[in-house]
Amino acid sequence: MAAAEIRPALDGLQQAVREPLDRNNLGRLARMHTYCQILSETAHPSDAQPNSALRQVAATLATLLERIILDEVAQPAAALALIPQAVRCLTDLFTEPSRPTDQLLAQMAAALAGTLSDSGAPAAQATDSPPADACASAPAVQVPPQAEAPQAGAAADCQPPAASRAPVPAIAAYVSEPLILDLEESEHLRGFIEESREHMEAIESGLLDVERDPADTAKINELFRPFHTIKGIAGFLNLRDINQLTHEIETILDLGRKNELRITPHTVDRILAGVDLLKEQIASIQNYLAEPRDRVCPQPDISSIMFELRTIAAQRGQDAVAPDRETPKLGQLLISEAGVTREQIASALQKQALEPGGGRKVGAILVEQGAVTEEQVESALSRQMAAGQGEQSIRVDINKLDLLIDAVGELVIAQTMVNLHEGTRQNDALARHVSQVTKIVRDVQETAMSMRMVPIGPTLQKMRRLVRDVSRKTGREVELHISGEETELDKTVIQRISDPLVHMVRNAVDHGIEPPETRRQLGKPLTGNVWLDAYHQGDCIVIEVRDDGRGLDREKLIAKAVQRGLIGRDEQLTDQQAYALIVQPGFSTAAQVTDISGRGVGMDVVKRNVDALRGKIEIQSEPGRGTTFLIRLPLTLAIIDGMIVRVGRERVVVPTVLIEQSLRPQQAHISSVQGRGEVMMVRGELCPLVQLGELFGYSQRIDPCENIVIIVQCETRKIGLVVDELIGQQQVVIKSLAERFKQVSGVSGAAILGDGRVGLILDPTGILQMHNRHVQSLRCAAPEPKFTPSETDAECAVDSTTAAEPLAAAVVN
Amino acid sequence: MQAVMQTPLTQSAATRGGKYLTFSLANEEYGLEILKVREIIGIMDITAVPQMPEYVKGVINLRGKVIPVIDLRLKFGLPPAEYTDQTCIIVVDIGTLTGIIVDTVQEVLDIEATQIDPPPPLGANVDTSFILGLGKVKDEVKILLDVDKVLSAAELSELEQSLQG
Repeated sequence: MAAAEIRPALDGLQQAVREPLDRNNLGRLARMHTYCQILSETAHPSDAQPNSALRQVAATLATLLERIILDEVAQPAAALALIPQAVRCLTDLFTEPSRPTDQLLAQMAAALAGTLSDSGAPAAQATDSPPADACASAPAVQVPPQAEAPQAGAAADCQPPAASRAPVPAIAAYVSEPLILDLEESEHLRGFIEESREHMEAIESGLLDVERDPADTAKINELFRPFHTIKGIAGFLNLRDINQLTHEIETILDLGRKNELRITPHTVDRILAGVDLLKEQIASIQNYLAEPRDRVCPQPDISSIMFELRTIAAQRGQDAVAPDRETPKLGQLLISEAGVTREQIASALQKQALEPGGGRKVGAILVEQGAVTEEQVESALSRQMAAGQGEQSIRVDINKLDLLIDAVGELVIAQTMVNLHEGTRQNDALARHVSQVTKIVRDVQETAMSMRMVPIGPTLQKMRRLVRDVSRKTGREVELHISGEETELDKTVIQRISDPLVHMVRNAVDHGIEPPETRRQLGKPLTGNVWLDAYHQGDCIVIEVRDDGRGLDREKLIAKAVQRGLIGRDEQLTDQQAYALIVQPGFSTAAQVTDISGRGVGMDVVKRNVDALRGKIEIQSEPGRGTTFLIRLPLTLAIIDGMIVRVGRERVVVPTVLIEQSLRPQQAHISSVQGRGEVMMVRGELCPLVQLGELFGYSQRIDPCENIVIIVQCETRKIGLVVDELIGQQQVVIKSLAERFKQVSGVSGAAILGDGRVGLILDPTGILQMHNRHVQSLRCAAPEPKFTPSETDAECAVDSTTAAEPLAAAVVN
Repeated sequence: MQAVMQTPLTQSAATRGGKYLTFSLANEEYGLEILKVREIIGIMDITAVPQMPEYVKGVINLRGKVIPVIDLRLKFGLPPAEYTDQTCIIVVDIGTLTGIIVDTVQEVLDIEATQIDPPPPLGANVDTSFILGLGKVKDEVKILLDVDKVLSAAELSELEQSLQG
């Protein structure tokens, strides 16, 4: 065994016990635990040298520390008192391996045993009630070794200490403590919250993989890691409940990956429940950080889930719990990958131990024995390295990225100016260099933009959990197919699309897929399918949610819409329009309101969210065959496709997605209403005409028939913007306007145009409001009731159904 | 945060001198604390923003940042002037970046505390709160501005306007 590894661990332990120990000092205890693990592992079981005593004491101490950290020790004070003694003993053993350790081991075993006799107490009393067991009620230190019943003997018999947990396990009840956060650590806490959220996503999809194939220990191993990270950080931040909960889950996974516990669907269920609670805990910490009201941070009750998890863990076999490992051992990797047997590894290790000076690397010995090839060792080694290093990425403040993107945007503009400069055209050599720079600039721009992009995979994977839960609750059998996970989207878009996706997938399962009985009658396979796909299409990302369920019933939709007053009785709708009804506010097709969906909220929220992302929803459906929802989203929120138009001497940007058409109207199509404004007939719909230049104070009124009218979609209706000239379409980078301009309506932001000037981006909804105010201010007669957005819907329906009479209403609204 | 920064600076400026960027505006000389000045740029195309008071000329693109620009002449109720190649935009950092249009930028002056007089009382109706003091350099008098107050006062009247409108 390598003294080089033992020495620092011993030093660390000694240093840790120099100050009096306190159970609340989880960080220090955790460090000591790690040292003990190092000590107990460094000497391998097959090691023939006589330091097994050291290993044994270290392992026992590790267990004891773990229990103390987990608050599973009946007499924490007594157990803590044992620790310095154990550390001294370890130091002595290092120099004098033959030193007797029986008494110490027995004492530690007694402290551990005390745990078990107490742990059966119900949660309510467990805090302060004296343990019923007479043996444990005495301070563990004072129990003479002889008085210790079989457990002490067992521990002294060189058995791995964890086995001293009683053969018939009593389940320890968990008692949580009030969580008092150190607000000075709020930065760390926020980092922790963010990091663990990311882990949660990985965990959920990983768990479902495990559920599908519980025998796949590699998958369990993957799951183990995020829990371990969360547990570790939570420990250091003194988040005891989170630390404990993850520890418990980790224990189960650990047993699972070692094939000591079968991971059943029930187990996964409970772990998922645990993950839900973890999320709640994290959310409550986040809320608390945002607004720390009391001294104590509220947290959800985890005692029942802890009990359940411990019950599951107790069903394991009798083998000891192996210490946690950050980095997988080379041997393990070789066993799982290169088909090396445990015996071969063991013999190689033995050989290594016998060689002088610490011996050669295990890998080399294995190669010599012919068990593996050199390549296999290499690959296992690199895997080991990768696992140790974690992902090769760094966290960067998003503001810094935005700064970079800003700078690159400016660079592109400056570059264009150089390109267009007279001198460049006249000088060939210069032109060559400039074109070289142009290429580089483009690369830099692409890279900068791509830094905000993240794959949509984790978001789609989250839906697995949802489908699983919803299909269980509704008694459907549903399989979820996910593809296009590598498709990348702007991080902000991904964050904001997650909720709409949840609604849509939920709807697909709850409303789309029929119950198995119905499916059988229809001659469809019993298991329904839901497909989630993401792909690029032109400048958009399309997210597709497809099911093979019953499809949308056109007639039913229309009947319902008529009943709800959303459309007129005689309106003729295309299929598209009919399907689009389901995203109208207050529209739900489910005959029954279930606790999953069918309250008539949901789809309209989806639409609102997608609109906010400047996306579009398209619905295709075939009765009896299924429904497809297509969400088209811009690649990024930072850039939009805009139509640059001239208004007076200014140029403004109209988002292209909102533009229905642009035209030069004829006088016949325009009606003036009592000198207060104009409306125009466009495809049978009356649109108010907005004099943009006048409204913005850029220019005087202009004649729409001499200029251009752009018809834009504005919530539920259309308006016509009268502008001087269309300049062209361009992708523009969106900038927010300064704080000073927050209250400006009609403008949603600013964009830097190709020549470096700023152009304002129009917000049609705001423009409509401005227009209404403007028209009202022109009115001398009795003032109309003030405009509110909710009124537009109702009046819009009136506008489009009747003709001449509501002209005035159309102008005003 | 602004309020926190403002108080000590106002006090220190009244008692202690420092470097001031001087500029002219309708035949008057003004000074700005140099620490507030981010940079000086020539006049450039300004995009007008609707519903803003007259003195808020609009926004410009400062290397990828969209920042508001204020015409100090209009802000101070002086007659407007044509922009020439002498006209400058002084970009000041008052928590956010803001551009101030002035006639011409002159120089950076070191003004000792002893050279600074408190703002004279001009009667109850005249608000002098945005004047730090009067700096006497040689025979000239520079009006030293508290730029935070100038611009926060701007914000106030802006708010009033939008409420009326």
